[in-house]
Amino acid sequence: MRRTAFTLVELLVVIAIIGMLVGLLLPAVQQAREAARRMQCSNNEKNLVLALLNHESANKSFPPARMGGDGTLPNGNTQPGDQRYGSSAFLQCLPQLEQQALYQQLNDGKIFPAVSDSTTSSWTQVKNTATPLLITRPSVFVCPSSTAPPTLESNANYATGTYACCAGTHGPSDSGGPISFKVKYENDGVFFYWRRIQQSEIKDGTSQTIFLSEVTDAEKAGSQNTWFQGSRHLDCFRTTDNPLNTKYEQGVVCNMYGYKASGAFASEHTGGAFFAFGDGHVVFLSESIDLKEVYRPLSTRAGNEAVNGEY
Amino acid sequence: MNCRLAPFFILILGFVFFTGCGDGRPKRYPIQGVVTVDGQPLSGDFVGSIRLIPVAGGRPASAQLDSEGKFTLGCYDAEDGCPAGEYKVEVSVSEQKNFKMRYLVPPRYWDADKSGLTVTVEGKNPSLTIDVKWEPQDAKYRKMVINMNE
Repeated sequence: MRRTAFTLVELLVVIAIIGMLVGLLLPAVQQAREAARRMQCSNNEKNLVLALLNHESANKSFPPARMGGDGTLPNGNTQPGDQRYGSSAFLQCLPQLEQQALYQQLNDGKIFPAVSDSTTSSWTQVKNTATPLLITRPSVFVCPSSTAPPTLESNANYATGTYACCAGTHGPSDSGGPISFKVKYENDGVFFYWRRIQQSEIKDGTSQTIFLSEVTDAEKAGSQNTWFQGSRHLDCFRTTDNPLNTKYEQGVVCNMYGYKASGAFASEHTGGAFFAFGDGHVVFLSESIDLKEVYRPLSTRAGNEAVNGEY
Repeated sequence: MNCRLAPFFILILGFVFFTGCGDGRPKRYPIQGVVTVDGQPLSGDFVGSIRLIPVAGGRPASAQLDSEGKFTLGCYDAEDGCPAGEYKVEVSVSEQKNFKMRYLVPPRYWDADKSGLTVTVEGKNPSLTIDVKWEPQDAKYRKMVINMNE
């Protein structure tokens, strides 16, 4: 007898085989997509570190992680309240990131004075013109693998970012306290409050000094990371005090403001994070990296450590 | 279908399902403990944490102290335990109020290289007791109030 159709068993077998083949293929496709996102993330970091280096060429020093202080400055230096700008290093580098127009509209990179001064009204001027712009989120500040929402939980007008500068090793566990002078103004990396570090101060060599890396949970209060503001343990200011990929509420935390902040770098790429160094190279460091002998020494600008080349 | 082959199929299926499990990280043992100061338990309003730095190098384990000074160590995630090995210990405990800080544990204990505290984790530890002491050399820190400048 001639059959004119498939039997049910044949059909089920074919479906099962196709299902298995698709099941084998899917993880490979997802992996390829994650590989592309990782490449994009590494490329973003490269562009950011090149912008910092170009800023140094133009201004003879690197931009601080936070443009101004937010209290008394070290060594008897003073600064009027309305000039203690909270601008991040990335905001100061916008011209080097081909965002000249945004830079000019954000008061030439001078926003968020720590103390508002009603007589000069600089805060009001900035506030009125800047607020709609602070929701912009240039793609160079965002890792494609990041799951953070585009704005902060606490302020739907402030855009989040993925990257933060490295201030050094003095973080929440510093014996002077989590927001001490040492953490904010005398840290041992390259980017912290107010002080402009010069190339000649990076005695460990720029290829041995971490400039920036990634953070996660950028929308949460304890891990807040806008791309335009600089603040200790949070926005664009992280340390190597806690190990890589320590969640923001874990490890040793700063707990002064009603939320916990570990100030650690973290990444959504499995097993480690991308780090951009001062000579422009970007590497993926494993989260199992030795804290005391490798990770922290790589974050200092003049620690005089000999770090083994393999990490 | 031949039923004698069924166990093999189950074996192969099980293999397919469970390959790739495990996180590729060192084995961690659940470790709990308590920090005491001069033999007395901590109390009151404080911010405290403990960190174990491996002597042989690697990723530290850490924990925050609860209101009685008790802790559960975590290495890669919160409270996921601590790999076996020898560790140098750092303990930081302070009172932090209104941007003023007071030491509840002398600052030399805040740094693993100066604390002199060590523990060995073998995987079958009873709970750890870390006792720190105020020595005469620490006297000046006892009353010190640090202004945090904000």
